[in-house]
Amino acid sequence: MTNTGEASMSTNRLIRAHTYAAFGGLLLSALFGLLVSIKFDAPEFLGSHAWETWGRLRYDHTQGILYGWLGNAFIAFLYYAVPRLTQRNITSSRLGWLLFWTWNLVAVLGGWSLVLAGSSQPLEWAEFPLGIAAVIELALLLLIIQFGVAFWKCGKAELYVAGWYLLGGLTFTTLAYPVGNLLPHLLPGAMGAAFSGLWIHDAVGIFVTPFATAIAYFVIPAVTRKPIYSHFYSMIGFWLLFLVYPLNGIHHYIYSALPMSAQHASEVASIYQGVDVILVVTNLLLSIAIAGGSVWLRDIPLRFVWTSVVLYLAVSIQGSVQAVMAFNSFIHFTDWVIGHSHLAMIGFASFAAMGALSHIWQSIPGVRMSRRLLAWSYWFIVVGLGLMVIDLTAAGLVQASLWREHTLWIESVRASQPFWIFRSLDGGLLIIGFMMFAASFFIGELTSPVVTARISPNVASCAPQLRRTDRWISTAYGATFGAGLGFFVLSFVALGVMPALALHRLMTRTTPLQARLELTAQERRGQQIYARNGCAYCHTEQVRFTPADEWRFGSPTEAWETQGEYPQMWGTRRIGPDLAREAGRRSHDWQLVHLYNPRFVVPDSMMPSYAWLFDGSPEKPSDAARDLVAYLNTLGRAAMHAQNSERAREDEPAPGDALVRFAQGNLMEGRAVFEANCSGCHGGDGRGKTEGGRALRPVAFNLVDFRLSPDRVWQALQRGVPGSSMPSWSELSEDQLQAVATYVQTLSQTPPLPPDESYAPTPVLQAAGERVYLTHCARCHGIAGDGNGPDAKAYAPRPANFLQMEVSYRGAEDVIRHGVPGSGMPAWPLLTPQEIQAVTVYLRSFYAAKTGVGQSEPSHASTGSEEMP
Amino acid sequence: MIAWLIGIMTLILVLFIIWRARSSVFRERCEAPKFRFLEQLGISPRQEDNSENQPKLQGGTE
Repeated sequence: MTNTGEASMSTNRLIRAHTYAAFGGLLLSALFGLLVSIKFDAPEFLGSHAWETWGRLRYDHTQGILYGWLGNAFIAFLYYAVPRLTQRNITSSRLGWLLFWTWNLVAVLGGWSLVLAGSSQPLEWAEFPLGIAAVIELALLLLIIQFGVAFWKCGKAELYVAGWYLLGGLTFTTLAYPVGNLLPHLLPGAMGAAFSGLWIHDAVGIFVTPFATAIAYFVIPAVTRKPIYSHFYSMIGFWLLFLVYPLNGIHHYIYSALPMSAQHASEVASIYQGVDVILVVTNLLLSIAIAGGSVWLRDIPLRFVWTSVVLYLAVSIQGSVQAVMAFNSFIHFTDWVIGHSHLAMIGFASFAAMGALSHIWQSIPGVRMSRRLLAWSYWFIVVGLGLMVIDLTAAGLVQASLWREHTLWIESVRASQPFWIFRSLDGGLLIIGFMMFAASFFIGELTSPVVTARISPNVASCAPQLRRTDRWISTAYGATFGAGLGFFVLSFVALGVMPALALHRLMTRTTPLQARLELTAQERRGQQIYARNGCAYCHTEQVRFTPADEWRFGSPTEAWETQGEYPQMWGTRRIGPDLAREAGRRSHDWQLVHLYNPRFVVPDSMMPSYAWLFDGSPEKPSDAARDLVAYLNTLGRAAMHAQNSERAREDEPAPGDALVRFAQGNLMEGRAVFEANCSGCHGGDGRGKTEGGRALRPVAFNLVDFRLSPDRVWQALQRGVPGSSMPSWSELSEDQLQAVATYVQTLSQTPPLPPDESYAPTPVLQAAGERVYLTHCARCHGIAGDGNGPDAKAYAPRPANFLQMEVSYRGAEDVIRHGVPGSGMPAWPLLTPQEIQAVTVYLRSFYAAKTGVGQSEPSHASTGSEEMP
Repeated sequence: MIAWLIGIMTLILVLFIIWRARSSVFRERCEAPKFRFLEQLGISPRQEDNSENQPKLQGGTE
């Protein structure tokens, strides 16, 4: 056997190995994706162990697609294409096997395992931990050695465009990869985000796109047996791609704290990118069109490829539109973007990769291929992808519309659920398609080498008759390649270094003198847990400069606030609400209960449980859970301190017309709002005896045995109850607030005393109650019963204000006997029933005096009872 | 700055386009790799191809 033949066999073995590895990467990554999707519909699916947390599976899904599937498929294509493009062999088959095992055993399997074990970084398209990132960078360098030498030896003027794309992809990916992986660890918050943005786009634009486009430029002429329409315009498209793509990066952070000039630049570059893609796609489709015949329908690998080309156009135009600031303010963070990314990574990249692998496979001797099954897989994947993109696009539009309305966040989650269920079904269809695709390589007829396999690599030179005359074109191409490297560096400077320097100056100038930016050791540990479990992939940590964001979350995130973030976790998707202003919004125990089981306090939440951070109960958090909550309470802390002077006083009176508006509430709507938003803590009956309500500190308020005055209810709804888990519900519309406030009033059952005739509310009893009150209660609740006693300031929440609260005997007895866990109210077990009765009479007298409601009068729902079912 | 960058690279590419339009040699050489690619795959590019700038390599320049 000749050296050429041996080299060819050796290369074929490497192609087969990478193809099999690509199948493993595809199926496992898709399975991770399906599990992630199912967890949207059933958050407790597969239990709640640390390794199968939503965020970790989400990391493995995208990293697996990028490296396990596409990486292997592209490397297989390199082994096939480079010898044919350059007429030279690869550098070394031994190096090939080293690369194979490094890529798959260390990078992909090692990366997956470490992510599941909790070691990862919260950087989009760079989730594998830094050690694995170093291995991938090393592998990229090995790829250059393996294939770059062949390109280097081949004359530049003779190199076909597919070769240029492969060479560019290898070179620029190796340069760009460390930008997204390392720099965000070294630069804080906004400064790091500028570089993250570069890599987010470069992963697709500089790694995936060149290889997929190279496949199209290779497979189309190889199958049609006709040259492409224009090689010149293919080269124009190639250079535009590499010059413009890196400038797109920051369009992932539009309306953020990054310098507006950089945001505008990325917007312009994104539109320009769309123009380039129109040029590339037109050239490719014309290449198929001029070939004529029906080969584009008959040849299944070509069908995969031209589908990829068409979808490349669709996804690029979509991307350009998404980068336009006006549209971006509407659509960003929604499922529209997830639809876009699936269209890119499956529709464009994966279809190209599947076309390449199936095309290559036909030239590998002695393997099997079922064209029938391959054709079926095409349709399954096309239909599955089409349905998924339509579904996610529609979901995105719904979410975007709801986020602009002044409605609760959970409304968008509820509205998304049908779409998410449908997405899981689409995902199932896609996985079936992928399995059929992989299976088609193992069954069917044995292949025999086709024409393309007869070529003999390792020839002496590339067309010497052209080399002499085309030296000037070679020089021009070489200069352009150099210019491309220069522009890459410029993009790095223009969209990374310069914004970072500008941000540094801005931070220095705007950071308040006493801003608390440093995290404690505990908060740092919590930050790590947050990062490793993918929390930032559902909860952004940036309030954008848009009216909808400012209304919902508060003041926009400024650069100086982000100085403690290494790496930044701004996020690019919101499934749950933004957390950049979370500090102080919720109590520690609410956060703990919410982590243990989100549905204990937010009935319709689809957030997964983090019960593995607890010892069987929300009241037994592990140190990790406490650390995580400590970190959550740092989010927005610096800004909150800076704005402290502007914060409304907690005791500011409610709006004067609250009582009037109360009477207008619709009880049907009120009950619906209550059940949807309040019943998690207060229970459906309002007694606060739910599992979540009892786990809170203080425990959830009993709305049945205590009647709150309308202005107190209004105040609590508008501003929350400081020191408790009761948040502000100011996101509710005016009508909803009125309705739920009215409904809460109807829950109260504070019948007149006594349960026993002998303790009728008489002046004597009232006097006895006053004595008990002055002895045991007045120091906190105040002599006037207004919750402003001498010791009141020591407690949060503040002691009850009996001018705003009517107490029932049952409620008083319960509180006096057991206290209120988590508040300053202790148990008073030694008080007799008579004393409790007496003090209850006395407490009610405060409310009666304030509101004019007679103690002896039966207490009924104030209004609207005719609307109750 | 970004506008300048985009402007400069557009200008460079426009110069290439003008060069190609004015020079038949350049046009021919630019298109040559696509025919060579087919040859490397063992396919002979046919003269009746409808693609832009049909190969006239055997006949020299246009």
